[in-house]
Amino acid sequence: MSVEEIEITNSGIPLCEVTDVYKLFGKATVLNGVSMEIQPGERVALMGPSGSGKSTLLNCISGIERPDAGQIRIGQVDLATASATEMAALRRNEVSTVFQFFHLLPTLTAFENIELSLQLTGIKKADRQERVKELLEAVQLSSHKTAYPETLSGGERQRIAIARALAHRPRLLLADEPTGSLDTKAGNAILDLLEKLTEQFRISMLLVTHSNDATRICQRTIHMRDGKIG
Amino acid sequence: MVNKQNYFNLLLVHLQRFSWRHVRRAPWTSGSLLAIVALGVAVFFSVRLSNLAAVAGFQLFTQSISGGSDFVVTGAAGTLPVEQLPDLREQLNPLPVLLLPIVEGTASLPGTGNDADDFDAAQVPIIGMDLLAARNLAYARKNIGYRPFEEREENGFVLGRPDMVFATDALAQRMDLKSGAQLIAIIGDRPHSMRLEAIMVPDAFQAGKAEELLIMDLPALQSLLGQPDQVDRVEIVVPEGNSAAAIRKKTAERLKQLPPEIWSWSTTQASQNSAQTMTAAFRLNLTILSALSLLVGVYLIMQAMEAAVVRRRTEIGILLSMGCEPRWIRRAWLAESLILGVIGSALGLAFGWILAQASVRAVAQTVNALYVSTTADAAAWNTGEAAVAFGLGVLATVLAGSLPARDAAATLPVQVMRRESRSDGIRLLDAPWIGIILLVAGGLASLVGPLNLGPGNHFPLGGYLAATCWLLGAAILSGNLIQIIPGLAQPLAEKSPIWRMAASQFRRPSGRQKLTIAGLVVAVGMASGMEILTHSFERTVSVWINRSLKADLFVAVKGIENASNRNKISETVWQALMNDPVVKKVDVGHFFQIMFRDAPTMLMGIRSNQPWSDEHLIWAEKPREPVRLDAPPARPDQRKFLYPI
Repeated sequence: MSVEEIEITNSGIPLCEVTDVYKLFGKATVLNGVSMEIQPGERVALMGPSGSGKSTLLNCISGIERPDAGQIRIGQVDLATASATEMAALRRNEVSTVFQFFHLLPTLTAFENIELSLQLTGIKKADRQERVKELLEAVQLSSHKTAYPETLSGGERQRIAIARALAHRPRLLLADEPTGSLDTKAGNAILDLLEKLTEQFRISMLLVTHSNDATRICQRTIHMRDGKIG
Repeated sequence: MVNKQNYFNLLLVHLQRFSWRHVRRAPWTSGSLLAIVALGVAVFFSVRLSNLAAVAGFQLFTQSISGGSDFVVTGAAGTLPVEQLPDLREQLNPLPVLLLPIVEGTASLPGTGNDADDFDAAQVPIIGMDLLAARNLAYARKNIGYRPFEEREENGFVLGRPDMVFATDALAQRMDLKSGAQLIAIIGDRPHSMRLEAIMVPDAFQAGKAEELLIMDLPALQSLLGQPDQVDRVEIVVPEGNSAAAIRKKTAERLKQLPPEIWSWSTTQASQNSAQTMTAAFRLNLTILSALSLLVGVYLIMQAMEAAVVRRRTEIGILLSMGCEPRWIRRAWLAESLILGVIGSALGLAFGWILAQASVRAVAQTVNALYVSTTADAAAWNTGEAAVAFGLGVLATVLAGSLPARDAAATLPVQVMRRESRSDGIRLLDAPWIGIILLVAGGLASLVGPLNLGPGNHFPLGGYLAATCWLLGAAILSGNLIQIIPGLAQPLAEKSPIWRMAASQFRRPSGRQKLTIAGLVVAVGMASGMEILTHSFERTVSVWINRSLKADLFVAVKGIENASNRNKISETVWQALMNDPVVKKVDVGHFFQIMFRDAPTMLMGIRSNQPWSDEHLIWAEKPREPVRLDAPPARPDQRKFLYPI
C-alpha cells in the first residue's frame, strides 16, 4: 500500500507511536530506548538539555534519519521498514518540519517556497495559488510574496517556513526549536502563529524546545535526558 | 499522487527555479562550464572536419579536368615507359575508350614565400597531359570539369611549345595571374620562364573548382621533369552513353589480362579509396587526440558539478526533507547536465566550424607531407560529423554530470540539519581493488598487437588500451594512497600546527579531494606519456640521422617535403657535384614511392662516388651474412637494387 493511500483517522489510534527506539552515533547512544505517542490534533512539547537527543528523535520521526532499533509508526507506516520512496511520500503528505534556521530555498521567492510543497504533492496550479495566498494572509506576509528569503527578517522567514510546512495540510508538524534564532517578541509571535494554525487545520505538533515559554502552546510536555524520556 | 505529468512539471520547476536561478546568480561559473563543453566539442569537430577536408582534397588532380576517369593504369614499378603505351592501346582495341597519358610534377613559384630564402614558396601540382587527347574529352563526356581551351581556340595553340602553361581559375585568382602573363616556376631543379596561355574556366558541373593546378603539354613537362620516355600513369575514360557500363566491364576484363609484372591498374574509385586507407591511422590518432580535449572537459565539468552539489547540499537536503525523492533529484541534475551539454555542444559546433577553416591547411599540409597529395583550404560543413560531435558532447557532459547527480541523490535528508557539507564523492574512487584490476588489465592489454587498418597502416590498440587502463587504475588508487600522507608528514606535524592541520586533511580525504588527485594523476600521466612518446620519436629520428646522414651539406629540390613531390635533381647537377674535386664524397639518392606487398613503400636508390659500408644502415632485421653494398650486381636487371629481392 502506498503512503498516499493511507488514511489517518482520528479513531483513538495514536497518530505517531515511538516504541523503544535506539540511535547510536559511533559509540555514543543518543536515543536509548525512547517510547512515546502523539495523538491526532495533539500538541506536544519535547524539552531537554543540549545533547539529550530531542532533535535526533525529531529527525527519526520525520524520517530524515533512521533509528538503529525500535519502531516508529506514523499512521500505518512503519518507518523502520518503509522504502525511500515511501519515506519521501510520507514527508510530502503527512509530516512537515519547521527548522530552527528556517531552511527556505534561497532561489525561490516567499510565494514559491510555499507553493513548492503543494507542487510536490501534485495539486493543480489554480488551487495551490489560492492556498498560498490564504497562507500568506494567515502569516501576514502577503506584501512580501515576491521577496527572496535573504531580504526577509528572521521572524518573517520563519513565518514563511511555517506557511510552507502547513501548506499541504500535514497530519503532523515537527518543529525543531522554531524560536531558537529569534528574539523574544518574534519568538512569541511565531508560537502564537503555530498555535493558531495547528488549531485551525487540526494538525498535531511535536515542538522541540529549550524554552519553558514555548510549552504554553502545547497540551503536554515530554522531558528528555541522556537519550531517555523521563 | 505524483503522476508522470506532475513529475515533468517538477522537473521544469527545478530547472527554472533552481538551476536557472543559480546560473543567474553565478553567470561566470555557468559560462565557464559552457565554454568547457563548447571548446571540447569545437576541437573534436574541427579536427574531424579538417581530416575530412584533407582526405576529400585528395584526388587525382586530373579529375578536375576529365570530369572523372574510370581506370588508372600505372607501371608495376611506378612509372610507365612511353614505348609500352601502344601495347595498352592494342590491348583495349577496339573498345572506344579514351587514353590520357599523364605526368605529374611539382612547380614551386618563387617570390610567393614569406621568408627571404623563399623556402615556403607556393608549390602547386603541375600536370602534363596530351592536349590533343584532352580535347577529345569533349566527345567522351558531356560535362567535364573545365572548358580548357575554348577561350583561345580561334587563335589556336602551338602544341609542344615548351613554355606554354595553363592555370586553373582557382590558382589564377589566388596568384592574381592573367592570361598572357609570364611566370617563373621551378620544375625539377631549375627555374623556367613560362607564358600563361589561358586560364581554365570551371564548367557548370566542375568537379574541383578549388583545385590550384598548372597544366602543360605532355612532352613539354616530360622534358622539364627529365623523364622524356616515361609517363606516370594513363587514365582511361569511358565515353558516356547507354553502353558505358558494358564498355567499362569489358575494359576491366581486358585490363585483367595485362601482365601484372609490367602493368598495374585499378578503378579510379579504388585509387581514391587507397588514400583514405593510407591516412586511416593518422586520422584515427588525430581523432583520439582531439577526443582528449573532450575527456579533459568531462573531468572539469565533473569537478565543477561536484562542487555545485557540495555548495547546494543544503538545498538538496531541504528538497528531500520536503518529500522529493532521490531519483527526482538525480534526474533534475542530469537534466541540468543535458541542457549544459546541448547548449555547449551547439556553441562548440559553431566554434568548431570556424576553427576548422583555420586548421584545415595545417592538417592538409601534414597529409601532404606524409601520405598523399591533397589540396584543401576550406572545410565544408558536414551534418553527419556535426551530429557525431554534438552527440559526443552531450553524452560526455551527461556522463560527467551523472556522478555528481548520483552524489546529489545520495544526500541524506538529515543533511538539512547539518551546517557543514561533506561529499562522500564517487564510490569508484573508494574501490582500490578496481584500480588493481585495471593495472593488471593494462599489463595484459599491452601484449595486444597493433590493429591492422590496411597495408602499412597499423593502430596501436593494445597501447591505447594499456595506457587507458593504467591511467584509470592509478587514478582510482591515488585516492587511497593519499591517506598515507598524514603518517609520512608526522615528523613535520610534530613541529608545526600548520603542518598538522594540512596533513590531517588527508586522513579522511573527501570525495572532491580524491577526484582532484585522480584528475591530477590522469593529467600528469597523459602529459608525461606524450613527453615520453615525442622524446622517443625524437631519439629514434636523431639516432637515424646521426648514423645515416653524416654529410656536411644536403642538397634537395624545392618541395621535397611533400609526399607528392616528383621533382628531381637533374643528372647534370649531381654529376657536376660528384666530379667537383672539392667534394670528398657524394651520395645521390632517388626515392620512389612504390606499392610493396600492398603497402605504400619508399624505395631508395643510391649512387655514390665512394664505397658504402653497412654502418650507414639500421636494420629492422639484420641479414645473416654481411651485405656487400659495393658488390657488383649479379645480373644487369638487378642494377637498381642493393641485393636481389
